[in-house]
Amino acid sequence: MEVDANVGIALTFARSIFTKKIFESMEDLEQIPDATPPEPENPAALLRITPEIRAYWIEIANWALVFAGLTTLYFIVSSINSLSNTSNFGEADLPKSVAFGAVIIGGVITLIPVWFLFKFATLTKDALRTESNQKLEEGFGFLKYHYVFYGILAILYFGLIVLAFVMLLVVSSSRGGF
Amino acid sequence: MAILDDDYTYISPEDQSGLHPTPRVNATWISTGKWAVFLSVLGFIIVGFIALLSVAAGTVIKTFTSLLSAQYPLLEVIKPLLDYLALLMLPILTVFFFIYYYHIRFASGIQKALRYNDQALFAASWRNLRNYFRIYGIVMIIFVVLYLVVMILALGMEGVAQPVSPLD
Repeated sequence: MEVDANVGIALTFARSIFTKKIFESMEDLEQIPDATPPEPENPAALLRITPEIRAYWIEIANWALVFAGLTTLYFIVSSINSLSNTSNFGEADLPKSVAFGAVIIGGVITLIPVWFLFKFATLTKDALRTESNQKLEEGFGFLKYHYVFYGILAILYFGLIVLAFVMLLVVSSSRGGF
Repeated sequence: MAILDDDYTYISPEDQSGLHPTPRVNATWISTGKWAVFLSVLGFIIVGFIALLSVAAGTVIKTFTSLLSAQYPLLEVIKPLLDYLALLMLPILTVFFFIYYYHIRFASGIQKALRYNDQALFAASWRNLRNYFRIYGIVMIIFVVLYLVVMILALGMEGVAQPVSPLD
């Protein structure tokens, strides 16, 4: 029994040395530098804004200004058309307050993204002229707002369509089907 | 050595301009790309839906036109065109397909270019956005001109023949 106890102690000692070695080797492994290079803090800064890209941005800004101007023109003409009594499209039958409310809602939906686009165009062109990174950030920020506005609007529209469809189903089922 | 941590460390010597992609504008472009993907996919769905509708809608609209032609004489002018509605819609839908095609190429390209630092893809993405804005701008000009022409025509026809109410 004494021999067994000694063997047991020896085994425990050997195991502790072995595990210690393993831990030490693991610590060594941790100290080995990573083979892959560290990620740069700003990966996009490796990209360059070449004259080609600057030319694209100028053209995008010019088209954005055309788009903003035409949308505003369309809104003004259609608003006058909706509010005038000489309309030939049926809106003249609506009460003035309803037509005015529709124009206000239409104005909010139409002119806010157009204003974002206008700000994007002017700030980007200004950034290219003055070499200002801050103006470039603000300009593209407005382009993002333009997209976000249309994205949320699309989600709302689809939400309303789904809601209308569900309500139609509920009403039709309460009346015993289509 | 704090200056080495600044973003200017990564500016290439070939780049003569002071403009460069900052972390903030990088995040803005990625976010814009994600929203643009969503809007492009939505655009493709709408184009497909209108293509399906235009195949069947000609007959339906023609029926309504014959009912309302007494009230609105302008509808008589477009009545013969309704037989070819799907064919007439084809070029319009093709143009809109290309608009969303360029848009989704910009959206996916800008995200990949920023992720993998691909300069060629970065330039191609902006070229695709330029194409998107160019085609959309031309379509917008045509639409506004047509709208103004139709409005002037409608005002002119109103002077010739007043719409007759069915209650009269």
